[in-house]
Amino acid sequence: MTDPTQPEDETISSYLDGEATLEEVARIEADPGLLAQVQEIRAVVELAAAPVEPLPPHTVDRLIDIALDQSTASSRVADLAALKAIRKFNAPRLAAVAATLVILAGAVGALIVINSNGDDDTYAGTNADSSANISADAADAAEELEGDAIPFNSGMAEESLAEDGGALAQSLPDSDDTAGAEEMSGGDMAADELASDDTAGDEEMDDDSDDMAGAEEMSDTVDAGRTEGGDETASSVRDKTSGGDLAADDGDDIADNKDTAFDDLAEAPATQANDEMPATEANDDSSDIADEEMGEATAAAGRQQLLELEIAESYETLDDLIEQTRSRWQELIAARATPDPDAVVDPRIVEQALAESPCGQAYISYFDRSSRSRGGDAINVSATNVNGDPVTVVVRTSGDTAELLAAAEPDCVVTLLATLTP
Amino acid sequence: MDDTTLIQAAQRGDRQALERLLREHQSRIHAICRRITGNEADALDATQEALIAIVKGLPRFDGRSKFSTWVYRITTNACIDELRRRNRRPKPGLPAHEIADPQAAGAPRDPADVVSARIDVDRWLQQLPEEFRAAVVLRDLAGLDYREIAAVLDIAPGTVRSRIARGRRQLVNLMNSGEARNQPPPGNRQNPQADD
Repeated sequence: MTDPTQPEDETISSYLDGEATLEEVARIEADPGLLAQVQEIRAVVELAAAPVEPLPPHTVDRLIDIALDQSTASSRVADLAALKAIRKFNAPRLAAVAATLVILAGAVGALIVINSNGDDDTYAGTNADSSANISADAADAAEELEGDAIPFNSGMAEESLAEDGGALAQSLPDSDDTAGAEEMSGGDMAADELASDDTAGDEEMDDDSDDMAGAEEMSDTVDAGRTEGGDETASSVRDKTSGGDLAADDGDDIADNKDTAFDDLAEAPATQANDEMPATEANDDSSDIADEEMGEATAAAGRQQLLELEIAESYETLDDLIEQTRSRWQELIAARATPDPDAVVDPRIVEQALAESPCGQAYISYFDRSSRSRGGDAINVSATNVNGDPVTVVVRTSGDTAELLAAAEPDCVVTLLATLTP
Repeated sequence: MDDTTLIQAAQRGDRQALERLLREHQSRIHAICRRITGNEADALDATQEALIAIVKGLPRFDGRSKFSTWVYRITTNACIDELRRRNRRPKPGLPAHEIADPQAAGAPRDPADVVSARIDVDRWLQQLPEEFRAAVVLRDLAGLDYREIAAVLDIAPGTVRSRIARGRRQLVNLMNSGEARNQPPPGNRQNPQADD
């Protein structure tokens, strides 16, 4: 469209808006021609100022309800701690949280290196499996953990790890409640994968075989893939160069508007998006570098990081969770861990999976709004908890950020678990 | 209870305060979205986005700007974001030239028909560049002064003045020429939400 602006348009507009200087006002009011133009512009102003028909009350209610739901993530996480005593009734939510945290391993390329003496003691792997499967199985395993009355004790596990030469001390509870494990594992055992001999002294590992089923799931999940020296990484670290930038904050998709003609619009609440990946090495190199830099003891502690993120017992609020996970994230990034490209799937897969759940539509809508404009990638995990209820977890990753979402049915709550910004 | 009190309460986790805050601002948010996006479906999406962004961003709102300015900024950006999404969406339905338009068909148009004019203003607005449209809407619909608009759009007040003037001039020309009558309605979307 050509610009038909007339010389006095700015003055006339300013005059109508009460923004003109006294000199401009005097000039316009002294000129009938300009006054005629004022009337012409005024007609347009009045049209543009015409009130918009208000929304129906029920639509307003729904818009506000959806928006308010975004503010409840903290309270939901807090509920997990507050309702610890009745955890079994919180199974879906807890499962989602636990699963998400485990999935974080795949998303951020966390190193879990298990160095054991026995061939079958090794519990670790590369990301040979598709990340979706990884995450799904991890979620299953996490759910098994969650489903038990006694939560994972990371401290004990860490201790066990140190004592047992790096074998994974996946703490499995003593509870008799193994229904979830049976359900998930299909009866498979993973005692060998868990280096049961090495961990026999660990009080958390002396359960019957049923309790170990979750471990099987977990070990299957992360698969095995040896690196030099027999070390294996549970989740390899790779350089991810996805073009999509996932905003670190909720409003960043709006802030992304800055990149075009309207780039002068800044999004108020948003923080800076992380547009660049940290300098990283290729996958295997990163693993090696991480091991070198972290050292044996540090690496051993690092292997436990993800498990320590089991939040139900540790964090009271979402902020606490975010803070803790952010710290872990920073450590991982410092160790040159990067998101695993294999752990990123097309968002359409997520949508398809979500569409199959009763709350899928709302979830898709949220996903669409939150990610499409950012071009963020996603990982989807669909699993069931010990009650057989579907649990869906989405981890969106891009660059050095990740956003964790979880939906738990039957309440179909979509929860933003955390946004990680190293 | 004023905005400041509500904001503080909402930031402390008072859900009722947050809801009141949203309810107090939603109508204007929606109105701006309606005018900037040009159709109800996109306006609803943008309104929802803006409300969510407000909820999520409120804990970080530090009061350095007026709350309304902050809200308008979020809203405007949400609208622009929605427009860009719309541009990326496939556009189902009839080709633009096949969409029935009584105005285009030469039906008489009474200039005094306010309803018709209000419909047309959406069309005209959609033909303005986004930056002009936002400035005009923020001024004429939201009633912000140039300084506030400058803060919302993060541009100089002089630029605001220029954009508003140029936007209005284009609207005048569109109104006079009837150019907008030959254009399809913006977005070509049904409203999936308002009627349910």
